[in-house]
Amino acid sequence: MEQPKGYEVSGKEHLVCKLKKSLYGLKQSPRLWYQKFDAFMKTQGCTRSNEDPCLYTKKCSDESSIALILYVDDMLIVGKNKDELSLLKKNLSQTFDMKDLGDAKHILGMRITRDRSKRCIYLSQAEYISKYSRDLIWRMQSR
Amino acid sequence: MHKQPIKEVEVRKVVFQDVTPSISVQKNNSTPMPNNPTNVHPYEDAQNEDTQNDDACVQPENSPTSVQQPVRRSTRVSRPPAKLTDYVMLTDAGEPSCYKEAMLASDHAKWEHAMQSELDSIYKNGTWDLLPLPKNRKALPCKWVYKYKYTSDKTSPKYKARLVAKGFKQEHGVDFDEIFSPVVKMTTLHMLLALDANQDLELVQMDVKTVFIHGDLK
Repeated sequence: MEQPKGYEVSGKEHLVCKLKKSLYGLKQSPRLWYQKFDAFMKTQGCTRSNEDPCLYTKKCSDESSIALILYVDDMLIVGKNKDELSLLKKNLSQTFDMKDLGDAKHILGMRITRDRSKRCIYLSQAEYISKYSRDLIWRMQSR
Repeated sequence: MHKQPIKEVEVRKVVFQDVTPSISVQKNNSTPMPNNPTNVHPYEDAQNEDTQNDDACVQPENSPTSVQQPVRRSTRVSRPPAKLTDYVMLTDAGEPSCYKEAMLASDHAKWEHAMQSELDSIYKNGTWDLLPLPKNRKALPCKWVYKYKYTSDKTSPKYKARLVAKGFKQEHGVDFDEIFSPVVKMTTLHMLLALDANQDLELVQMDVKTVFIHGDLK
């Protein structure tokens, strides 16, 4: 690949970048990421679901399970056993450059609110809709 | 926050390629045509178009034409087809569209900082080695992509710069092979959330910061 514009190494402008790792924009990048993640999850004793290749489950010692779903760079982890949850989170963070977002609040443009007393989870796309409709209206008017 | 001309550049991209040749054929019967105008390979053409666009996004008029013989460009004012006026691009928030433009922006120091931070993570990751280009090979171009990121508290934006390879120039079978990558099914997500609500489980979320620099190329 060409050297990035504005950051060519001085004295080495004639050289090019031989890629060893993937980069944004490469055709194979999403697949390489998935394969790497999949291999990592196997080392964690997780089983990939046959129904959905982005769902992984693990049986914990106390007979409860934890489940993880992956949407490119976003993941949700569900489970009862807090120790197992934090262990998986710790191992993930050590392997990849991760951000721990705590209790899930927002996934795929949906706001997650929960009411534990009623055992309910609410999903809302209100913010997603208002964000884009406001932008759309503003741009239609400004033309 | 930024001025409008960037949008016009987008429009130019659309019209540029397919309108200009047909005009020059129809209107210039008197002017001598080059002997072999069809020699321009479509791939080359796309490449020229593209490099031109990168360099030209600041001053489109002065951009050098990259075909061997100078090509006479139509003087017609290009206008997008009427059907395109029904579309609005929502992802453009007025960011610079190339390196030159970022450097000319009043807030170029912030873009520079963003680019440096992107390069830091690339170097830390050991993404590439600097080597001479092998014979008969072409280096894949790359470009900087700039984005304002607004946090939920809606104060001043964060400046993000990402270095992207121009993957559309890669050739299937040569530069890459299989590219399919799954994402979670909506039913799986819904099922898991339902299970979580019903069983009163913990639900935590994590994301990967620079997700696509993790893959290992063979």
